[in-house]
Amino acid sequence: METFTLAAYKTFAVDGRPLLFLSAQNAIFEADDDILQTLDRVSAKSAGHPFTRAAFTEWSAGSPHEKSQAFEQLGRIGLLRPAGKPSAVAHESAGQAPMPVKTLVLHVTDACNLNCSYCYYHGGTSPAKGKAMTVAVARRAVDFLMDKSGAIDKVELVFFGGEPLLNKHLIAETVAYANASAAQCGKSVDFALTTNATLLSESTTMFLTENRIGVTVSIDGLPHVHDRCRRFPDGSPSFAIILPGIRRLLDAAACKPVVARVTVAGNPGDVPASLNYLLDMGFAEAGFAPVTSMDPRYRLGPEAMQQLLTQFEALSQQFLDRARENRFLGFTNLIDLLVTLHEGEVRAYPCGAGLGLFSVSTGGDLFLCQRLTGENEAAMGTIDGGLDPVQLANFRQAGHVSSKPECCECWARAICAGGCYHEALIREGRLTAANRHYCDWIKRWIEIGIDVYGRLTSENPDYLDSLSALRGHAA
Amino acid sequence: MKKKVLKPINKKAKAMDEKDVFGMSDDITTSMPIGCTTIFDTGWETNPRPETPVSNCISSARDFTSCSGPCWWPAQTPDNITNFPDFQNQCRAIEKDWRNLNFVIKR
Repeated sequence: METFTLAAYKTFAVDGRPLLFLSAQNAIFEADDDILQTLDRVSAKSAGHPFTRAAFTEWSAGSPHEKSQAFEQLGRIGLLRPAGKPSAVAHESAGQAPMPVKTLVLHVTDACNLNCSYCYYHGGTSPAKGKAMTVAVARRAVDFLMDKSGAIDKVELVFFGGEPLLNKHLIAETVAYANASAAQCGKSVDFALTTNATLLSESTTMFLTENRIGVTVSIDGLPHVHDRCRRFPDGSPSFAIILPGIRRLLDAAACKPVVARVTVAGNPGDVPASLNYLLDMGFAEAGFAPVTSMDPRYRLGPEAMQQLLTQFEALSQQFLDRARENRFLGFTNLIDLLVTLHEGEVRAYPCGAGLGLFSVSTGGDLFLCQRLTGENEAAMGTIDGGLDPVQLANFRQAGHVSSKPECCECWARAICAGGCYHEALIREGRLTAANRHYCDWIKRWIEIGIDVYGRLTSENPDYLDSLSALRGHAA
Repeated sequence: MKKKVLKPINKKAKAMDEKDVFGMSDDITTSMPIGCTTIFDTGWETNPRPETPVSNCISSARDFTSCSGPCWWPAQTPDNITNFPDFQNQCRAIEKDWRNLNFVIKR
């Protein structure tokens, strides 16, 4: 006799409206109370074991017609599925399929002129000691990107470090070379750069704007918070020094929005105040992330994480209030989450690292991502020898969410997929491990996002489409 | 029309809702797969189609094509949805060419 099982799901009540979230598909339905009651009863009675249609009918609520309707509709969306069949979640044949490279992150220098106390990057400390990428390596990296991007006609080149602007002449050379090379291949290149904003002179700012280079500024919010960790090697604070450059950059008729990236270390302080301060300065958006560190001076403990969540929740409420009136609050974390929910993106991997994105060290070696440049576990070949197929296949196998036992039963896996590889390497000891230390935090954060999302779908649905458009999704 | 118990909210849910899963949507007249032997195909006495056997139900050879694709009838047809989308290229005239379809052993 045919038996069935329930796929993973979670129910939410948003403003009195019952929502059903399908874990494997990242699909959200509004459900009536009967069907939710039926689901809860079937879930409790079956306790994870397969059951027959007769048992489903016995356990479910409503008239015979409603029961059969519930059975059909739940089957239709894949929540009810024949026992023994794999779930509908897309499983790429891990590592086998050739995948085009879309984004290459160039470590144009190991050196940095700041010496931020929490920084994970210890490649080089002073501009004098750090290795810099040569023009020859950068050109070969561009050739690699053009070659390996296959049919993709819009590729991305990111300049990273160290402080990338310490090697500005290389960036200028590479931009020119990449544009010429892309034109030859019938492609176009998008450029981006992450900087500590210490070197944003007039000419540099002009160069960035003229070449349409998207800029992310590492800045920690309010001046006194920023200066806690972001200091020069001599110990002097950096905020006052970077302020004129940031103003220059924000004032320049930038054709790309300038965003701020905030590292939260020690205790979160006043996150909403920091966000509003940065937005008032003129940043289009600001995103917050807890520092990746085992050092007890910087790492956020359970209390600090809870504090951060409470502040994120308050900011989400601010965002919602504005969204109702078609106004905008550049809170990157929430915008990204809302767009993920709106589009129903299903992630088998937490990010694009090792799929369409790789980083290149100053010497031309390939790594999974900018954060893992130089880590042996994340070495993926060289720009001259190409991607190492064995390493890559192993990584794609182990990094897939279905290879992480903790994630298999989790309702949030299609959104989180186990979390950042670098964070996992530092905190869990293995880069393809699930980030168990922030499981509960992420789940709670996604719940907050679903709450905001649910409210917006009934109060201002068009707003969600405009957020999606902001992130480049088609209407 | 049935009352909707599940209303799609995000784009993914809407896409799933629009997708006709094996012809089982609410609207029975438009969603039935055409050419399926059990529902709208007339019996052996009136085959309205131009192919043989005339005045009969679908020939067994035609089961290969008419029971694959978006049809839920569990005939032994090649799995043309996921693994062998182009199986028909190997046997243009199924009555004669069916031997070209080999056994498939999935490891």
